[in-house]
Amino acid sequence: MKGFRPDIWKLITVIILILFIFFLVYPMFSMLIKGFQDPATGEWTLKHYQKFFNKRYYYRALINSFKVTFSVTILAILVGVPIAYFMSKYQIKGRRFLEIVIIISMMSPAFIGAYSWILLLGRNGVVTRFMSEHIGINTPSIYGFGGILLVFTLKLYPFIYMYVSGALKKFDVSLEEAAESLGCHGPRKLFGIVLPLITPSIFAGALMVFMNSLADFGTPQLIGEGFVTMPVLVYSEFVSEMGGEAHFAAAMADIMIFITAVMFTLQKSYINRKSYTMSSLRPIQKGELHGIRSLLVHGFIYLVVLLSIIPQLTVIYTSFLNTNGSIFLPGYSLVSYRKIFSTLGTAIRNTYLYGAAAILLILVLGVLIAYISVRRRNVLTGIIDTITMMPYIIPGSVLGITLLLSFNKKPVILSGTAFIIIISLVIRRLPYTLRSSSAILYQIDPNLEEASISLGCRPMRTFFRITLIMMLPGVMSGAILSWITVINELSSSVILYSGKTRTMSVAIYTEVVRGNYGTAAALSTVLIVSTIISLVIFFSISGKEGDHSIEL
Amino acid sequence: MSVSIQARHIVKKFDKTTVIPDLSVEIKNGELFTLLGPSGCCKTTFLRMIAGFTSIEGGEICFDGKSINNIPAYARDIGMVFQNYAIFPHLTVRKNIEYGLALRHLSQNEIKKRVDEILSVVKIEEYADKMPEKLSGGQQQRVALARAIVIKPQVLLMDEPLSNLDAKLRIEMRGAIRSIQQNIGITTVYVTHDQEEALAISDRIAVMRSGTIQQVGTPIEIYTRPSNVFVSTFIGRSNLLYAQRAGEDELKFGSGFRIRVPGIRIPQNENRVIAAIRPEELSISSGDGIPAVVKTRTFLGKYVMYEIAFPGEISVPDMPPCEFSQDLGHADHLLDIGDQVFFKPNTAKINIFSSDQMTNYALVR
Repeated sequence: MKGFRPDIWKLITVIILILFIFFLVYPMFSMLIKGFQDPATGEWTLKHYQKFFNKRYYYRALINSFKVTFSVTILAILVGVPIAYFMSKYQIKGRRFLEIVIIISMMSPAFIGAYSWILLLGRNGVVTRFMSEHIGINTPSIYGFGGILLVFTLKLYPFIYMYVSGALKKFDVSLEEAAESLGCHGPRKLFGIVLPLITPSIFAGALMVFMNSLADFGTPQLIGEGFVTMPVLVYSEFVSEMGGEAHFAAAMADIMIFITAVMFTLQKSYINRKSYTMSSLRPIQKGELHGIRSLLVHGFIYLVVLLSIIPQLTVIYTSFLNTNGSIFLPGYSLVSYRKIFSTLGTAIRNTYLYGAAAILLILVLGVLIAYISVRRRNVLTGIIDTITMMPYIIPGSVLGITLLLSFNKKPVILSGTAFIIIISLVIRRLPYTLRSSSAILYQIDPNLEEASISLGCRPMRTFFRITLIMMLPGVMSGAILSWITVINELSSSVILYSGKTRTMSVAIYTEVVRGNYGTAAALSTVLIVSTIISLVIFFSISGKEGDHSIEL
Repeated sequence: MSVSIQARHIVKKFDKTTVIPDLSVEIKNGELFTLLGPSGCCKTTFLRMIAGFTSIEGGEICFDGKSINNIPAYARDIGMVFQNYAIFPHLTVRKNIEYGLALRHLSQNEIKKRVDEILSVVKIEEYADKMPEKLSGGQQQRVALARAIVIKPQVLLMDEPLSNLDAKLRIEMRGAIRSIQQNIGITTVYVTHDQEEALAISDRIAVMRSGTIQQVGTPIEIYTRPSNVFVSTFIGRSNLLYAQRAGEDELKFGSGFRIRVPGIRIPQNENRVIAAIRPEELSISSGDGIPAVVKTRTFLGKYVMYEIAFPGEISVPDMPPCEFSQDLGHADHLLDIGDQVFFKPNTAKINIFSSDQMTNYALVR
């Protein structure tokens, strides 16, 4: 209403915008600029980039990162698309189990995967030793490019799977029938009709895979050894540059953001040009498979899915073994658990404490931003919308460095505090909650609010009594995804933590590096179990079987 | 208590575009007043200005003479029925209807009494404890109506309340709305684009077009004496024919056929006027009349509708084809396609519009 009511939503919009500018835009831009500055004089320079592209040691990391991301993206598509297609098209035995396992492997942190593949196939790995001692075969090394590829593919193909099955769920079978009635069948139908229609979804999933594999720090750090990728290089340069102004690390972070921004923009413009709205009047009926085809399809799906859950199983199993450093001893016990609760209790506590604080902020921000950008659109909410896209293109380690550089000197010193970790968690994981909150808000009729107001209820009270209550299912399912990714966060926390603010992910990482495999396994188990419990809650909220509508 | 509504020189702008330039209207206490017009005529915008959901850029809206411009929507004491009902899906029917009462700090007993009362008025007692999703469209409509009137608002606003119902239910519900409105005697502003609905339900109708009111009047006034060509074609069908002024009260059609319209005064400077004749106001004459050819014939049970073509440049261009409806209760024989017929208009019913289409000389006599 013009003139007579100071609109509370305008105030909220301004406050949110200020928060974003202070904690995200300003740090981002000051770091972007830093990459182009001379550390001594502060003058504009390209010397960091010259240094980067002149020394093989540096630019090799960029090449490695590209090698990894492109290979992983292609592999994930080759694995994810067929699984999604088979699962949508045929009756697969144990579908529910498979779906849940796929989601668990997507939601578990990649570095736990890396760590447990080392336990299995590393130099001292169970499988490696078994093969060489009992069979006399030397298994190929898990370290380096191959290992990274294995871990990433098994962790990231679920993104492709999720997006493609989402698209296939909306696929109207009459399109296929129309093709057949025109004499098009078999592979021609598959490649001419079905595939083009799901291509936008494949691309959307591929972008997620690309971003995740480019940004992930833990996996290449643990399993890469000599094979250095960009996040690892940025991290090590940053740590060794500490105390300085980290201009070189900033320049490398700029390169990463440039790449992610380009990919993000390309994908967005592709999606805008090529997206089909399909309304599934008659969804695909799942046919039955027989004989050798059934065997092959089931074999393929189960092989991939079971491979992708092996890390979790390994970790849980080894957490109950007796250990001495990185050596597993015979016999089972709870020694590792006793150890983590006595020496790493703060890490566990911190994880839940920071997670809870972050999720609270995420809930408030997610709901408010969703509301202002859906119901109170204006120039400012447009800017906020754009800013909330930024976390998509900022790799975790880059965000960590960004925040640390901006808030480690007067007037605002936040480095080493829990607050800075919570901020990074909020920035990184807000999008899940925001997206699902907006999505549900679009489905709520604005007239409901007006009906309430016309009956005499003030607008703010209406928001709480009507709108918020109706938004809750969407908000909660988004919040649980935020929560899962918050408690599993490593790449930004590993840069921001101090002795007192260590979280479980960070502790697992440091324990693995130190070779304390028992405690690492026990901590990982705590994390995995927390994740699974959260997922169970998610499924019970988001409802019906097979309808795991995860808004990624 | 029910109130009268005065709108004085209302202006509505969206950004820089003025959509309502200057609108004034007076709505009497207790009447059912309909805003009728094609989509985009701003009838809903005007309704939402009365409700307080959209800002007023100029002029003022008053309830019983007191300006409500500065009263926020929640304090205007209005009841509103929305096009899509806007029933709160998470509350039972009873809780939906109680919603407004509970905000008015009434005792539990009073609330229950009034809800039970209204449930029986709108005939949905048996659904009181159901969730809205279990209800049919017509039942949801009744809940929305009950929720709006149970708070005994000053004004009841209805925004195309029947447009989501099927044809049969629409007729049933408009009867129900009319009788409930009459019983409780509440000032009601009713928005619709359906002229038949407007004619059936209203005490008075305001016909709107692009943000301006074309005519205000009772359904009979508006149908029989439309104020301009737009109203005459928007409400019901009118055949528009050019005619020459042959005298103060005399017209000559292209063929030379003349009629006298008693009591009418066509100004001297008007050479060519527009005669508007409704399909049922034409009658077949033997030898004397305006010649026409039958183009199509549609049998509709009670009557037969013919599409007819008048020769020459006599009919106004860019209008739907001319029609003649033949009442089967009194017809001697049916016409065939291709028949040449002479038609006479009913001079008591005919409307004569100025060449600029804006004045009805039958009204200013």
